[in-house]
Amino acid sequence: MKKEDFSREIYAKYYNSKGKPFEIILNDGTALEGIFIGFFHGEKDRGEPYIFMWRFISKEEIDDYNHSPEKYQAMGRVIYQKDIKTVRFK
Amino acid sequence: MSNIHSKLSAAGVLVTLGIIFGDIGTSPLYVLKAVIGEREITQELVFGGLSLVFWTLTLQTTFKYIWLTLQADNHGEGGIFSLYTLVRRYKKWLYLPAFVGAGALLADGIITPPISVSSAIEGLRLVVPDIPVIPIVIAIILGIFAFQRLGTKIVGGAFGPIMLVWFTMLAVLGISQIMLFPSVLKAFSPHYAIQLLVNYPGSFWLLGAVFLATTGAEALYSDLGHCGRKNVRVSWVFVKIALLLNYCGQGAWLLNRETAHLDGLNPFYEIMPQWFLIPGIVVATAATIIASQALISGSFTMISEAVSLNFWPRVTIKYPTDVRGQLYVPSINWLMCMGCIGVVLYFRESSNMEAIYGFNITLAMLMTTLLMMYYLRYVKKYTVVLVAAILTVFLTVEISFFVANIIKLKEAWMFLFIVSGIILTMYVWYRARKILNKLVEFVPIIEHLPALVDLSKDQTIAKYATHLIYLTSADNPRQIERRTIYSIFSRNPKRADIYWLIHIDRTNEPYTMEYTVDEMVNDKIIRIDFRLGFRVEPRVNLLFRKVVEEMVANKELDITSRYESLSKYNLAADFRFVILERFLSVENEFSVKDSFILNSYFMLRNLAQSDSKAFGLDTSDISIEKIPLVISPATSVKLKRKELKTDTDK
Repeated sequence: MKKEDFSREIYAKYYNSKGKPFEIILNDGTALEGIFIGFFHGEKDRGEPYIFMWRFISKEEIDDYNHSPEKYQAMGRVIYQKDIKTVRFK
Repeated sequence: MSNIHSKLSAAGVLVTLGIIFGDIGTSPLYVLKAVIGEREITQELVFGGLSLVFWTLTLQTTFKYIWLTLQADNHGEGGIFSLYTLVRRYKKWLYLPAFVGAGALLADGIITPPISVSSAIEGLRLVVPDIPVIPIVIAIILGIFAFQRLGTKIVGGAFGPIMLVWFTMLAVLGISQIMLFPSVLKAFSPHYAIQLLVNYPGSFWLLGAVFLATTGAEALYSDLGHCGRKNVRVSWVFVKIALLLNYCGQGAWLLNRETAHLDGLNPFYEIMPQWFLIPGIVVATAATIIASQALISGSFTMISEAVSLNFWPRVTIKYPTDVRGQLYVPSINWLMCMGCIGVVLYFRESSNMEAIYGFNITLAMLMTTLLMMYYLRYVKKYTVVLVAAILTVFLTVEISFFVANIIKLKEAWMFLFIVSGIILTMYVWYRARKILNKLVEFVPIIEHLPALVDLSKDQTIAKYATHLIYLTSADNPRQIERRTIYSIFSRNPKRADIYWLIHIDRTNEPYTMEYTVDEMVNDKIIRIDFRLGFRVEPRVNLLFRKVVEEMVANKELDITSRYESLSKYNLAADFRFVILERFLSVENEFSVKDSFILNSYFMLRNLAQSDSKAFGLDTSDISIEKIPLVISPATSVKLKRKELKTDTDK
């Protein structure tokens, strides 16, 4: 059976999260809390997930981000889908 | 969408003769001459050579192309890219055979006109021995390429009748010789071919010359869309008979000869009566010009498809006439022209050109076979056993031809460079676009709709445009590129009454032209999705205007100016396009391979057409903004601050 694309599940939840922070656990055990502010599509031809990379800012940075004149430019950090173990939306 | 000629008709058959069979139809000018070469003329060689030509035409042209490959039409269109679009969903690497095949065919376009025209003009030596062939050939080639910008609407109508005369001439000349040596027809028996291959010394390498008889088969498939399958199949019966009669006539002449060698003579002209030489050469020259024309047109179509499929840098494409599918690509035209003249000057004689002709086509045929196997297996649902059987037959034949042609690489090495260059360009363009597409950051549009509506209403900001239009690559209408949002809000905030987002989706069908309109916020944000076939030019300005006209007609949109003074006079509102051009920021870190691909891509892009021209927006009101692509900022910056030395330290 074809494996479910976990990134689609995250995308659907993220789309409905209305900007509320959520928790991410990475494969190396790192726990992060914050929001996604953008995403990058994977290459379907190469079997990559629908979203292969997310742009993330931590909970502490959200306020700065919302008031930053640079908010529409590259901010935060990128997290690869393959590095994500779980995402818990509140 | 079918062509007017796609139904079987006498007119359709005539047009087909003019468009499809020029290349394969002019092969008798050089095939038998190449097969015999400097070898001793023996019955074994002539019968065996003719038999190989007959079975090659039967197996490769009739069976593989006319019967099998013509089934693989994409809504009536043929050619390697049409075939690729039919099968690309089944294996991700299928773009590679498509690139190799297309590269080989394009390179073939540099050799076919010189060899065909030279072969025809060299016949004049029988009338005027000291005639300067090279300047005449160059003048004809220059003429062919110079006239491309005018299209072939006016003269194209004469192509069919001229080729009808040509094929009739081939048949009549052949019959006139066969009557003198009727037993030459025995050559159709395959045992002569087998005997030659088994017993004749160095017979395998003869296949390189025999293969020249079928070189036009691939072009035949490329031009399918202009004629329709039924017309091609019916015409082929006539064409094949004419070709075989001529080949047999040349064979009969060879067997009737008293001398042991050809001594530089071309059997094609030797079977002509002396009084017929001049008219014969005139018809031959016209036929070779038509053959060259078909190949050049095919190259333009292929480049246009490659641009649409994002395999080739955007180049200027012109439409010299209103005939569908008739294109003119100036850059390719002049590159091919230079290549053809270079070939004439370097090789000087058609017999020297024979030594390099064929290699590219064997490559293209092998690639078509590979793609065809996927088509037969997955689209036509042939059984694995049947596909394997067909594959075995054609791979055996084509690999044999390929190996026999490899010897030509000694002379044709520069073509290997050309083919490699074309393939590399396609690969770089294709991969770079994939890499860059992965670097496009998207955001949910819903998060930005309130701000967009507020900006539109904010009277404190000067209006940038009444209608502001962005192109978007987001397939999902709920997403938008971050760079577009950045452009609207952060780069000189762009207040507009209506924001338009235009998305173009390329379909696997050649001529799809559909659109949908999604009014995301009433009278404020409108998204248009165009679905365009891979043979449709994305002339956004024209398409957008058409959509606006229809929306106005349906009373969905009012384009009267929103400025009081102008609306009083019913003047139309202003429309402004914003084009966002990406450039690679130095802040990124890529692997060596990706760096090479991206740097090559941006270098090629400097030579290519701008986005505004490619989308037909050069006559519109446009603003171009350069947006950096910053994804993976460089992390290993080892910068150390040092204390400033004061005078006392010195």
